[in-house]
Amino acid sequence: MLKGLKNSIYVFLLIAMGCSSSINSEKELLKWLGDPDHGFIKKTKANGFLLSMKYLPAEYLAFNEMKKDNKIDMKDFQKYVDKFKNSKTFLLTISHDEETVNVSNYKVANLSEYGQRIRDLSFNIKEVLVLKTNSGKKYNPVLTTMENAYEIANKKSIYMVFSDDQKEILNSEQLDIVFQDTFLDTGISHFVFENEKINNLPNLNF
Amino acid sequence: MKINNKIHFLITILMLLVIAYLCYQQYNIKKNVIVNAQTVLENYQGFKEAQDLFEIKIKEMQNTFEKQKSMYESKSNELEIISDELSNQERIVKKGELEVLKAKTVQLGKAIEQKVIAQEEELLQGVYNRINDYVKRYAETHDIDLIEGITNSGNIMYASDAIDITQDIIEGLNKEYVEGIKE
Repeated sequence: MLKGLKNSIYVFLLIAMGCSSSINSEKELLKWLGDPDHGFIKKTKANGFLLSMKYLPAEYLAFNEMKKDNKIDMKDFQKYVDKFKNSKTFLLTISHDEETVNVSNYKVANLSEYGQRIRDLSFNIKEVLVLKTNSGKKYNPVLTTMENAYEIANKKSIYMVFSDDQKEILNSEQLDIVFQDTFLDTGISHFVFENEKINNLPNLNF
Repeated sequence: MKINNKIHFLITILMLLVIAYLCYQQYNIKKNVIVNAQTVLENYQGFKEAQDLFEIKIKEMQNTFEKQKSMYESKSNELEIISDELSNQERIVKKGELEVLKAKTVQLGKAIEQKVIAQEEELLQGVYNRINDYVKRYAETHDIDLIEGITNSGNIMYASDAIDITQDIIEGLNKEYVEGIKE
């Protein structure tokens, strides 16, 4: 009888351990965020380009910011998280099937067009990125930044931050990010994120 | 008895060889299918959204042109009304100004016309690229060798429903349009 009870407790503990997932390193976190089943990354393909939109949770941004500030005390972690929790940050990464083609040289014929493309990607991209909430409200990003890879890789990444005073973005069940491409002939791309999923990050233990 | 067994054995081997050959033939059979390109385009969510977006942009441009046009018309009417009160010199100056405004309006109209054509091409190119990309991946995952796009004025007289994948393509495209891809 006692042995049976003991076995049941072991089984229960095993199940409980399996259910409460946690992440133990930055590498693990990046891997977890990159798994499409977890709902933090959405991808689409057109014209040989792969477009992937990744949601960057406040915890991840806080962790990165702490690293930049050389802070290692986890007591500060929540303060950093609070700085990011009222907005939503996404990272759009664009690559091409062919190694020689990338966002900054696609259909670019000369140096002047190259300059225009870089300006488009750095500043004008705000106008072609829209976040739609469940109620149909539309928001352009309050900030966009292109990650400078100095033409080393054929990937280009653009960070974007969405925020609103009414907290409509934070409370919407779905966030549909629409990219109305005017540079790469990929048409309109939708990246639909479920708030329930992206608010469900496992505990970070590092 | 022994000879009988040998014959049975040989027949069995022969049958197995025939079956294996038929399976091999079936496996290597070239798969050709058809798609009604017009139906795909008309039912593709991405095309509908691009069309809506295009119409909004056209309206914005039309409004800009209408404003410019009504400005010219009101200036023209104004000149007609006050024409008698003006001296010859003043009338010449005003008419000159009006001509410049007219030329600007015509120029704006032409620029808008060109912009509309360019934007339509840009939007359609994006839609076509998306469809083509999906169709290519569909063919690769379904081991299809040839996908023939049919149109209402095309030259395919008949094709069996069994090789018509139009509906499949529409459903897949629209699903991918909302959900994206997993890779």
